[in-house]
Amino acid sequence: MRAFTYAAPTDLSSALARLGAPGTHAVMGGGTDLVNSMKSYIETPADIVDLQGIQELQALDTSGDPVQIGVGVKLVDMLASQPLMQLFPILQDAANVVATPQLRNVGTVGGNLCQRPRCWYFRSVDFNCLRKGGTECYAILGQNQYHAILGGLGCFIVHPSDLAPALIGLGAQAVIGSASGTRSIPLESFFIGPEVDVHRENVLVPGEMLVRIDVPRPAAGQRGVFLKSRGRQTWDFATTAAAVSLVMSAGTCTSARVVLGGVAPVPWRSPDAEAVLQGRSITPAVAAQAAAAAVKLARPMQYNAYKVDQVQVLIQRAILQAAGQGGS
Amino acid sequence: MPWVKTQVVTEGIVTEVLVETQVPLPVWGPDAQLDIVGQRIPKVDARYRVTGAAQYMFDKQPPGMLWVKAVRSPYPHARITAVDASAALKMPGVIDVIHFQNTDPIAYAPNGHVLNQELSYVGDIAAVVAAEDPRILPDAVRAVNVTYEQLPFVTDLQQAIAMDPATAKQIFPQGVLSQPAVADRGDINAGFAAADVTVEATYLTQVVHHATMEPHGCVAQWINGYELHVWDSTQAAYGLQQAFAKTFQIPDSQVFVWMDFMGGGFGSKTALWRYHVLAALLAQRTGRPVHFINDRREELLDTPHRPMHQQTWRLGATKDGKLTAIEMKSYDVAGAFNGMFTNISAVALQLYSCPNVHTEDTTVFLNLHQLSAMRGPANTEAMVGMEATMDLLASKLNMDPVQLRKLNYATVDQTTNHPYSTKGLMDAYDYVTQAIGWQSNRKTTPGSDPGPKKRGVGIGSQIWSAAGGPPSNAEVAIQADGSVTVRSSVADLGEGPKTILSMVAAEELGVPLAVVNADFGHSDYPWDLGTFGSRVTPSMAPAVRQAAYEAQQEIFTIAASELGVDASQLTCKKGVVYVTSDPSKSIPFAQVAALSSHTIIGVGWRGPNNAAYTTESFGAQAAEVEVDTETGVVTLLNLAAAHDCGRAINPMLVESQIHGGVDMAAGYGRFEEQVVDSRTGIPVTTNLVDYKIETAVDEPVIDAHIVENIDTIANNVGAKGMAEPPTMPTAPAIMNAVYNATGVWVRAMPLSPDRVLAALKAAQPQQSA
Repeated sequence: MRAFTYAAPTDLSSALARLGAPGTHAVMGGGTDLVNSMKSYIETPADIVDLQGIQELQALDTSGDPVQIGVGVKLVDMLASQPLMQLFPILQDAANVVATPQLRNVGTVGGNLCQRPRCWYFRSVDFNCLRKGGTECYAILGQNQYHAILGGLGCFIVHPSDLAPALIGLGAQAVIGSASGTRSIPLESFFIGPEVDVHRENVLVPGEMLVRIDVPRPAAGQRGVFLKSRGRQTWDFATTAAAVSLVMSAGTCTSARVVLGGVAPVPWRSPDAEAVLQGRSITPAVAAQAAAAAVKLARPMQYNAYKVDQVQVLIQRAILQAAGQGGS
Repeated sequence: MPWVKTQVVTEGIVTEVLVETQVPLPVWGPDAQLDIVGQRIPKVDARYRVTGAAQYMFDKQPPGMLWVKAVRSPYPHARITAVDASAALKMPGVIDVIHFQNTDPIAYAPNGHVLNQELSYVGDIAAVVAAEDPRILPDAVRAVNVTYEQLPFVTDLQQAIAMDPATAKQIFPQGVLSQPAVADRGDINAGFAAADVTVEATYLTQVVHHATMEPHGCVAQWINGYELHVWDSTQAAYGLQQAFAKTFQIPDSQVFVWMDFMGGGFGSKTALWRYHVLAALLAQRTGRPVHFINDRREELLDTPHRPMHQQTWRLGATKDGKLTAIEMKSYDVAGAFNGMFTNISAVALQLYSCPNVHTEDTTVFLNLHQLSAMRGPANTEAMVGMEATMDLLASKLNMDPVQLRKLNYATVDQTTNHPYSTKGLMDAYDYVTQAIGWQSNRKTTPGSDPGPKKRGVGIGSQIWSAAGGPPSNAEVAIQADGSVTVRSSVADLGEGPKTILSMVAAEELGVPLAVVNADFGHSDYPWDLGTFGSRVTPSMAPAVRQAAYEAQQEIFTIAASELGVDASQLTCKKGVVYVTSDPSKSIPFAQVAALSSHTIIGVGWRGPNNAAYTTESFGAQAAEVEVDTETGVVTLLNLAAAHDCGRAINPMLVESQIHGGVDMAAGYGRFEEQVVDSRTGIPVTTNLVDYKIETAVDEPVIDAHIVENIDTIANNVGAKGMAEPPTMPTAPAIMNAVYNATGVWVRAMPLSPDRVLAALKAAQPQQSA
């Protein structure tokens, strides 16, 4: 780990001012990913801005519209918020399957959304991969069982967050702060694929940080489900995941969001799947049709073809559950 | 007592040992009246472990100590052309950097020398940096500029099998494939000719790591320039003392190795490894204590592992299910250096009654770190192929798999024709099938559950050398206050020797357990070969018994003069010495001890094994799984495990061993594997997120059952070894259960969702256009 300077401001404006100063900064929420990334020299910041003392970032306000979730809210506290869980059961589905209880006790919403990829080539000090400034993605001809089947262009990481697909399914906005003010963008636009920039996973530029997630209050008849598949039933990242949020009215789907996890370098929203559901009554056949639409463009590699089948199953199951057709 | 030669089998390795016959003590048979042995007693050192009072190797930090870290090869095969440590040496607190160019060669068994110019795997040690502060070390290691010439390599088994010999010799002087080691019984061709049914299948079992909670490491210090003191996390303090002495060419008596508490070894901490020598060498060069400990990445790159195998099994049987032929051909991956435990033929030769057996074991060299013993080495891997092929045969014969096993039950050791001293496998089958609900939960048509989530059950068995044997030694010292110290170099890895051997000493002496303290793991105490091979209980318990008996004889001699009787008339129970025929004439044990003018020390050792019998442990496990055939996730719902351990000296600790073994192997069966990028030869599973050990959430409900079958032939306490056996049947039981649930064989381990889905897909009938 490189030597670094460290500050723990207690108000957001000081933090943003420090981030705006010259030099390489990293913001730290729970630190569970940052510290490990520094130990393996993936991150080598000269300065760490520890956000844990900033009350404002830990605010969770479920009273208004939108519901506001500070990036410093720990996953355990998010899960403990009954109003939030009642409004958005899909967030309970997702937050409950992040990592382990120990990590959820420390890890934050912002950290979960901004964590670096879990690709084993990216994480290994022995590979200088494309994302780390090297010249090739080792997954293409290598061990790619956990890699992308969609949206991999040059680099085949999958986005590791469980919260992101669920929040995008809810139509969340990302509020980004910097010394010069804040801006709000759809969370799905917050994440960027390798076709935009292969060295980062989101739009943040130096001096910026994620400060809050805004989630619109649910519409009548809205129901969301997040399903995650993984080898181990705890402490494992998704091999595939599906977040489905439907608004049902008189047996018809009036609005649908389908977002996939574990399959692409970004949380992967599927307009094609959503279009299948829109205006239809939900049946197993319709769910299967939507799932097939979601992977129409999938291009598996040598070891990850199973993901094409697996994610379709999760999409179908999530659609049927979200439509109130139970089962698993 | 007379000296005799005796045969000792440890982890399948046969040795002959010259040993003094033991003082004959009455055997603790099934009817023995025992006060302490057999009780469920929590570990005597549990309190220290859970309160943090226990000192592990890492905690030993003598003043002036240096920390070290290795510079490791990023290439699977390379030659160092230059080492420039100047930048590292300028960093604050960096004291020394050693490598092959600035040190004298030190012999090291696996690959020539401790520091080499030619490096054979990723993680191989190129140089070592010593510094006063551990926090500078990662940067200092990166500042050492090593220039490498890359050499040809192979890390993929299939590539190695297909490789032409000329290319192979460029990688390893001996090539990448050995001549097969062949074992035969009977006539294999005649066996298959006599078969009505023949089945064949090939299995891939993967590399798994010991993944000990406590990493490998040691602290080394030279005292007065001539005594080497080492605090280590070792399973064999005595063996390590000898190895250090040999390496540094000093007498054994000048080496002291201590291991008080350990966070897991599982076979990976039985030997002198390179870090031991490097720590002692740097301590010698700098005149300061040196602390060497791996981080997790180093653990997963540069500690040995359970080897990979590609096993092909062929079984022949008559139509009524009698085995006529067992053939096993295996590629056994040694890594870059040869090691023991590559050969997995023992199961084929021993487990089932069969007149015709043929095995071929071909060692394969790859540019990966070497293997070592890992909890039930060889048999754990071989049991996968043996037991899955038995189920394949059962399905072909349309026979219940348990019935097939019982039909081919071996009543004698077919490799020697000696009878087994005890064999409780039949009881184990009966228990686990009952416990798992075999009759109702087994799918007579595999895969017949409707819907995507399908359940099934599977069986696995186990055989393992469990006699133990010499050398094991102990002394029992009676302190002036009547408290008792049991001393031996034997290591308690956490599984409980301090507890059970204290129980044996207390039982024999007739004192309460609370007055006994087991002081183990010091190389200068009476020798013990080491804690491996499931040997400690059957080896050490008789030695401790004898030592306690000898000490008690002295107590009786003193008490006899006080009570005015002959020593032979005395008994000691619950800390009171009394006249056997008149218990009112008595004197407290502690009072007798206080009268002694010298320390009372009883010495005991393990005598010879019974040459007329084979002593093995046996067990069976039954698994119930649910397979989500759409996601490929295998959930292990229930696992019943029944193991024959002879006498259970402490049933709680036997059950604990069963739980530990099952959990380890449930990870082997479903999650764990070393993954190597074969293009670069670099392992990619170098943290515990990517290398997936089983978690508590994934643990099945375990029904741990002891088939207590007191073995009065094996030794005078009636116990057999029990540490490794529970690891063996689990993975094949899972594989067989997955077949029973789905009707599809998944023969590449671990049974991860991608492999399960791929196998299910391959088994689907082709869609017609």
